[in-house]
Amino acid sequence: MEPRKYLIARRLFFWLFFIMFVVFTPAVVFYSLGYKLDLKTKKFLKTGIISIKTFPKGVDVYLDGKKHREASPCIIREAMPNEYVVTLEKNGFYTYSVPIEVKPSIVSDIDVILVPEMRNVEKLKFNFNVYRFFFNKHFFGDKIVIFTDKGVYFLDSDFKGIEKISSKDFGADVASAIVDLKESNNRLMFYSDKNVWFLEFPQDRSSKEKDVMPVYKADEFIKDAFFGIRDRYLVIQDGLKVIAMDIQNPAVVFPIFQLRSINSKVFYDNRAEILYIRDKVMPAGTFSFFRIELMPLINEKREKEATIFNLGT
Amino acid sequence: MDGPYRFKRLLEIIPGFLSWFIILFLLVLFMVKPLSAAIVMIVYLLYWVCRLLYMSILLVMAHQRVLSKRNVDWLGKCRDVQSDIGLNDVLHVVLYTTYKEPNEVLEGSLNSLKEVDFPRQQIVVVLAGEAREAYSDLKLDAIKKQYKEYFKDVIVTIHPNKIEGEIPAKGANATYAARQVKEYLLNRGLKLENVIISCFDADTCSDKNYFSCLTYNFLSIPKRHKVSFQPFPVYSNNIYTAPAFARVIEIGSTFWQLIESMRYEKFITFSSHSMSFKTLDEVGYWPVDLISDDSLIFWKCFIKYDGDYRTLALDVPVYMDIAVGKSFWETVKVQYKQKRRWAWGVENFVFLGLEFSKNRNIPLYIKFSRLFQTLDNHINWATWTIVISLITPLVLLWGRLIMKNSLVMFNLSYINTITFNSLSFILILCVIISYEFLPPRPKGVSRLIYVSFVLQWALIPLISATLGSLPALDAQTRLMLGKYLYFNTTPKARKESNAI
Repeated sequence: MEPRKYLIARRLFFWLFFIMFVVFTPAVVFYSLGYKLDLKTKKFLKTGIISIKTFPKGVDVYLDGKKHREASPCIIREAMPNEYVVTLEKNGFYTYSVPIEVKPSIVSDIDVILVPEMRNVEKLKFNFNVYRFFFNKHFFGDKIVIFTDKGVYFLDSDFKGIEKISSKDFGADVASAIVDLKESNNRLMFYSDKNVWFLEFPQDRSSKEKDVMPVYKADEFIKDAFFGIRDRYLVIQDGLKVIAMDIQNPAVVFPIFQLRSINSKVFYDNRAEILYIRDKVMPAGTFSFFRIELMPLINEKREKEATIFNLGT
Repeated sequence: MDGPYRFKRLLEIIPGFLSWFIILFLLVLFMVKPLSAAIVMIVYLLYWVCRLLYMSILLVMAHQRVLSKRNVDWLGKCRDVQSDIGLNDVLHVVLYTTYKEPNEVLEGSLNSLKEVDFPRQQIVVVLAGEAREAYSDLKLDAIKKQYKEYFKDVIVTIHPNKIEGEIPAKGANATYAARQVKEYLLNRGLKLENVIISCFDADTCSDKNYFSCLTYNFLSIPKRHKVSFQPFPVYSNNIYTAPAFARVIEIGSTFWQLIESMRYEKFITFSSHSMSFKTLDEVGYWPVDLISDDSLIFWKCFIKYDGDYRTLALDVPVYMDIAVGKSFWETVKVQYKQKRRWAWGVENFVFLGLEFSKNRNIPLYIKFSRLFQTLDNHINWATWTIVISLITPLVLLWGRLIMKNSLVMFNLSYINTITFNSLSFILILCVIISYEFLPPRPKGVSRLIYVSFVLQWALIPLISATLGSLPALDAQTRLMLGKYLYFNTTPKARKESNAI
């Protein structure tokens, strides 16, 4: 090509891009501000947009029942200010409908996770009659404790591993009545409103299985129980009493606190060895909050027991 | 302070002031009215999308123009051309300015000159050294002995140190050498109007066809004394050993020259160039007290001939070194300083403002157009990567965190994506075109280096944010504050291999 032809070509392109810039820039700025030319009224109308993100992607989007041309994630542009219903549909997931208000020059966001329809239900491959289960968070992987007609088992959360920890069959009625279960150092403690049971489970398969021990029977009704005092005791809220029971000698029971209301609540922090109590204050009749450091209390009571024992002998 | 001094200072302040105004205006606007800042950004990004696409089309056209001339028999055309002077009447003076370059750099350039297809007995080589370099006379005399037999003559000149009115710069050395050459030519009864002088950096290696192409154009154009001849520089002498980021920057420089070469009426000289010796003598040689001698010589001619002067783009390259240091960080430093020196070309604006004010013969619209062109180039250079790489992401981040429901912010992000997609398209174009300018792979360099030649373009965002606008902004700020830059010679050294 001769220089003159290059010059003409260059000038053509220059004017092309110049016109593109001059024409498109105001259009893009107006568009960015949300303006839309309504051909019917020949007026500029201010619009908004709906931004739709979903997990998983590829969800069909319906705006007031009319299918949008793009699946999610997508943007519905030039939406006139109004209230709409956005419906999200995908095979294998529950349909999700949400009302949304479109405002001028504003991006209305929809960001949802669709819930799958329950189809691939995994059944425990063993033929147990499962009475009750407790989910037990554990550093080395979560475990589920299941009470069955064949005994008590540790089950991996992915159902792949199962380990028997006791052969005892509690029966459907008793097992169903178990309120809570707690674990500490290969030991399980669980309770109903009538009883507390304790189980030390083997650390490996070669160890001999130990029996489940009922360690405490309620005088009134058991409301809560905790491992406590260096994990040697169980701290139990029984009716209006809070007592500490030595796990190794269940006969050794110390009264710790006398509650004034059956609506009182206790919590034992076994890291700090502190008992927190919400209890009624008399004669006001209102509830207050208390804390008891148990270690000094236990030591004091033990010394008294020892003195009485020495005097007795 | 007198009037002319104030006017000069005003011209020195304008580019830096405008660049800083653009950057600070956008930052303040962003802090005060983020939505307005977002709209300005949208306009700015659209402007750059259009500009970059236009520039990439110019690059493709320039590339096509160069390719179409690749197999031309320039020497044959020189013999056939109808002209008032013949091929044998033309004498080439090839002037190499040198300061502290190792011998092998200059030898490489002279070896390439030995290989040109033009009759070497019509070439006089000038080795222009500096007295401030110890033993430069001995060094250049040794090179002269080595190469004298290949050319009509080899002349050594040593530019004395600290001549009054001069700054230590390439222009002062070249001017001193050219004045010596004038005496040499006149003493031998040679006509200055038949002499073409090429002012080369020490590392400039000529293409085989360079002098025949130059001669053909010199002989064939009507106003040969009112034209500078500009080859396109290809920074490839050490491309297989230079670090990737330095390669990208210098290939970018080649592309910029190719793009500029398509703007025929606004094209000016850069780095190594050629022109009529008669013209050079008439305009009083290169400026001796300014740094940008390569472009200022064009403007001196432009003003001397009342605007009747132009630069002709030659379709043959000269090959030069990529500026590198001894280590990675030194290369970054060297590149930064080199680009800042190039950006010091903003002094052209001051020179033009002063000279145009004295010239009554150049039409006002041409004066305005050329001043605007110079200012536009330099202000865009100093601002665009700062705006695109730093301020736009800042506004986008603000929009994402604080104003995520704003439609303008949302659309700014969308347009920013379009801008970067356009850049990706241009990058692919760059990768393809850059392959055309690669010299043969030396022995001992693995083929895997070609992978790095493709991947290197991913460095563009990082390079843009660091070495893009900052050197230019630095140069303009110095000029604005009156803290003038002095000539830094770019180290020219060939390394075994440090390519990545």
